[in-house]
Amino acid sequence: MIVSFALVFLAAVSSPVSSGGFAAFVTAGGESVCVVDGGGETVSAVDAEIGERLSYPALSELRLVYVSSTRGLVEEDIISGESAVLSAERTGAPWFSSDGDLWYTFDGFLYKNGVSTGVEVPAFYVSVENGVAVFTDRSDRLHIVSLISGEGRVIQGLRYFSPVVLAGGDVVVSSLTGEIVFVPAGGEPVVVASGEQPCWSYRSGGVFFCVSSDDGHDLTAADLWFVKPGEEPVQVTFTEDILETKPACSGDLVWFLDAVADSPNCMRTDVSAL
Amino acid sequence: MFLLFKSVAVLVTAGITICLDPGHGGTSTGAVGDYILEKDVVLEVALELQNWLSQVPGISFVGLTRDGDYNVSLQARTDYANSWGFDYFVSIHENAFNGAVQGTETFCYSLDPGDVSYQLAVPVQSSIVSGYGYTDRGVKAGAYLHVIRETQMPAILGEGSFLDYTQQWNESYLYAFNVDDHNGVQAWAYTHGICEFLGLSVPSYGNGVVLMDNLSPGFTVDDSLEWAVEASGAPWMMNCFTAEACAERTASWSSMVAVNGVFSVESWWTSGSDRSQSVCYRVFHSGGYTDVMVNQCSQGGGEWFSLGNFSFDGDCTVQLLGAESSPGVMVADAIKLVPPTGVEENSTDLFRVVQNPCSSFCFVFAAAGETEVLIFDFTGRLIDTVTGSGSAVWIPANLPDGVYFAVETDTDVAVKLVYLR
Repeated sequence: MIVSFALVFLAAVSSPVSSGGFAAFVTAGGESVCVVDGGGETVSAVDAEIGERLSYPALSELRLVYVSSTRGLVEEDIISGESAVLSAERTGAPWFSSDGDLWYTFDGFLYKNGVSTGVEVPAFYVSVENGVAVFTDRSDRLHIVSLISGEGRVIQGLRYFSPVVLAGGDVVVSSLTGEIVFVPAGGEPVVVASGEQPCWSYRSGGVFFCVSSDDGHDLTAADLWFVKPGEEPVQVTFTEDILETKPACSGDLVWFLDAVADSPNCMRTDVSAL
Repeated sequence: MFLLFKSVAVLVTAGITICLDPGHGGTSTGAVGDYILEKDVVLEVALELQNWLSQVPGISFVGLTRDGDYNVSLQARTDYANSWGFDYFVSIHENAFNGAVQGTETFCYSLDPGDVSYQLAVPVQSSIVSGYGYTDRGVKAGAYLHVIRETQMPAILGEGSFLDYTQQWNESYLYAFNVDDHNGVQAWAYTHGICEFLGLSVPSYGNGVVLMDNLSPGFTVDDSLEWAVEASGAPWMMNCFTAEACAERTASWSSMVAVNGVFSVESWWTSGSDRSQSVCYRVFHSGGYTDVMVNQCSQGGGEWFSLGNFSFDGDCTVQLLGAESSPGVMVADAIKLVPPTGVEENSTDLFRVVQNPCSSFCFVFAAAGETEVLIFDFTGRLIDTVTGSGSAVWIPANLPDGVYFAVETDTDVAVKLVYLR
């Protein structure tokens, strides 16, 4: 059965990113980056200094990397608390591939573990897995690029953003008009559901996502849903007092944020029944 | 289709990036005015603002969460902005209450002076208040607003005006018909405020057209009992004012000009065989006023009629004066000020610039006789005055390359100058 655990952190706004049973997220206003373990205990909390804004956390085992508005790209050991500036320049959002390599863009090029790959990636956000990089351009077209052969594929038709490439080369991507699109490796894009914030679950073989409604100023309802490509979406949560948003998958857990306006909480739910 | 990735890349260069967020869209109409919906107003403002900001050196990318009339959820708006790592997020809205409230307000994350969103909100609020002249309702904390709370960059949300206000004027009417460039004023005000915050040069407002209609707040007549409302006047609003021409009859259009400069002044009236054959348009400009006699019976009607080019300093007033000797119906409908982007390089045979563009040290103007020439920069600022007989010479010493305007005082003829050192 699905169980939700409320954690004590307030005002979380970024999608929780999960790795190895940990989850990291940014609090509202970019005031801190928090890492919690599967039991809900805080294992790391980085507070911004005055005038600093923290954003875009990426997590791989014990490595936490985030963007600081004043220091640049920063890595933090979530156990020892030691930090190091990886790049003082203004980089794109950091991304860990499953093998632990750190990827990001800088000045229009893709960097791997701090070294330029020479591949042009004109985007802030990039996802890389098994030699495939995906990103969107300023015309909101989806690019799927092989870092091995150099060949690229461009998919357009919707205003795509936040693509994620999976281990097998499939891609899951959002559109501004609320479609969740699954692009099989080498295949044509398929709209699998209407919603936002898709998160692929390797364990479940499908996409967890959020379906929300709003009044133009703030959310009025939000629940988590799940869909396997080719099947009908199913609703996962049915709460009225919790606004489940921004799912992040990790094994049997799906982390999410309860987007209550004045006190959003980082929570998780067990989806082993799916 | 497979392509080499090298061919599709467009380098992301350094520079400030801004995400504009026109609120609502699609089935979410937002505030409802008598003439137009909030979703349509804010899209028009956002598109114009994108155009303005894209011209500002130092700003490398201006994105839009919505570029048409379709639904975009709040989640998608902030997720999109976050995925692009924009430096700033500006959400554009219009307000509504009970039809009796007017004013401008801007929301940011907190009112802490150290909060960057607050630092951005203050000049934007000030600029819109200056642009519209409405009640300053202030900068307000808006962390309860999704787009302000959920964005990972400093974000503000502007409520430019109350769309449903109908007491002293109909706000939605001003938007729907873009009276006095109502949409453009807001877009330019955002531009001004954002550039002030960023410490960047503000582009000239001179590209904007100013439209003054008989339903504009700045329109007056000498005696409303003597003027009739004629239910035609389209496309410039729903009607026009008409009166029997006589010496006492006057109508007047006034408007602020956001940035000084040279404009082509044009008039619109509805055609008819009973129109007065001699009315006077008195154009008040920076050099005084100029009377332009027009035959409203034979010289047009139902189209824009040029009254000439004039320079304006802060505000603009055009009067329509009747004449005792020329009875008939005089029509007051609309006045349009068009910036001189279409001005010919050499406007007339009498007053012209000898070499243009010019890369030498001076411009030489040829004139019919004694001439005084006012030189304006691209923002409309008067920067020099030169005189001569038969010709005049302007030396743009220590001035940067770019576009300038020369206006001959006597004729108000304007010439665009392109200076290339």
